[in-house]
Amino acid sequence: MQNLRTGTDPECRLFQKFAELGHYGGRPGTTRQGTYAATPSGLLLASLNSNDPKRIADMLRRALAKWQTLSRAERLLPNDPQNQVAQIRRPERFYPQDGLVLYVTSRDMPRDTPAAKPGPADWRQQAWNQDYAWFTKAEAKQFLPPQPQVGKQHEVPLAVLNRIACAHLVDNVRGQTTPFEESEVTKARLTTQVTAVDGNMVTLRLEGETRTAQEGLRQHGLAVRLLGTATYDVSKECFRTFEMVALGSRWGGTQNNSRRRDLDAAPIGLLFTLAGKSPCERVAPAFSQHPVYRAVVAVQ
Amino acid sequence: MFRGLIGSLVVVLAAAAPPPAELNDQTLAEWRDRIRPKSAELCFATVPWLPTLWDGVIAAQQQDKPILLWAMNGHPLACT
Repeated sequence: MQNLRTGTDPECRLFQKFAELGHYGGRPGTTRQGTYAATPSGLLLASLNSNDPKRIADMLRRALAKWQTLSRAERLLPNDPQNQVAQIRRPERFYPQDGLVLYVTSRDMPRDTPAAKPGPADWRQQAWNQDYAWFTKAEAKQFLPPQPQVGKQHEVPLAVLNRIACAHLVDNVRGQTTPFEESEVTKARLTTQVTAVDGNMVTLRLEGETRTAQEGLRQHGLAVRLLGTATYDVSKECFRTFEMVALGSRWGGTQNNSRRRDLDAAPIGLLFTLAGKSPCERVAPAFSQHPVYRAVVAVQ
Repeated sequence: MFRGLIGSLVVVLAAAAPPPAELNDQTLAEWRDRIRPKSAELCFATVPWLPTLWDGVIAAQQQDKPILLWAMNGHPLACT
């Protein structure tokens, strides 16, 4: 969102053109979050920031009514926007087509003590979040021993594991958070063991642990165990299955992750699974600009 | 005491099953299923979203249709 508001590529300019006329337009420094209907040429049809389906439906009706009043020349761009794709400065252009893309979900886990539980009607009890983790083809191979034989164990290199620990083992359950610095990783190990080899398919067991902690005014951290299984096709050089659970505890809070008074250590669970290939699963990781992602995403 | 009240209706609310004690090979699937989003939580994904605004511009230009943009801090299809 920040990039759309302040960037200078054609996508950002188009967004700024209609968003500045929208529900928060003309208010510098405020968010531009919301739902917008616009023409490809950048004309605003309607907008609002609401999760009320009736208000959204009303907005869409107004937008369609306005669309009907516009000529083709008004509503479309004069040139094919496909020609400007190379100018769009989004991290999605670094999507690792032949690498490993994992879908990461996070959720609070059940708590033991009643006092530690949020109230029954609290949205926080149902909160969960998601993200994507990217690895190049070469990095994906680093989850396996060089010569996979049954029983062989392998330590996943820190360069790969630190990306998981810093950018993905984070408490974003209730909202956006901040990543950890590599210096804040106090424990990190992920051991893979070959449990089966069947033709070109190698089955792995993944097991490990991490601990990340930021001290100071807004101290927070996670300590988790990792456990999972995966299968890798050595002929196609890609993972066919991947499931890894991270289970442990989180403590503290960050500015926007809605922990507020919920700062004591409490259980958290994260799940890493293979992402699909649909267009909406090509979204860049939330912390794609973090140094741990330098091997995948060029700094913008 | 109301004799007309024949008996008491006892409603036992089945408590959600407690989680497994620890994460191990036997409990991995159960922990996975506790974390994984349920289909009701993924109903937003039934809409054929495109990942970026410019993808929407290209499609809308080709089809001569308006663009619907869902904009949040973070990304609505990923972390918000």
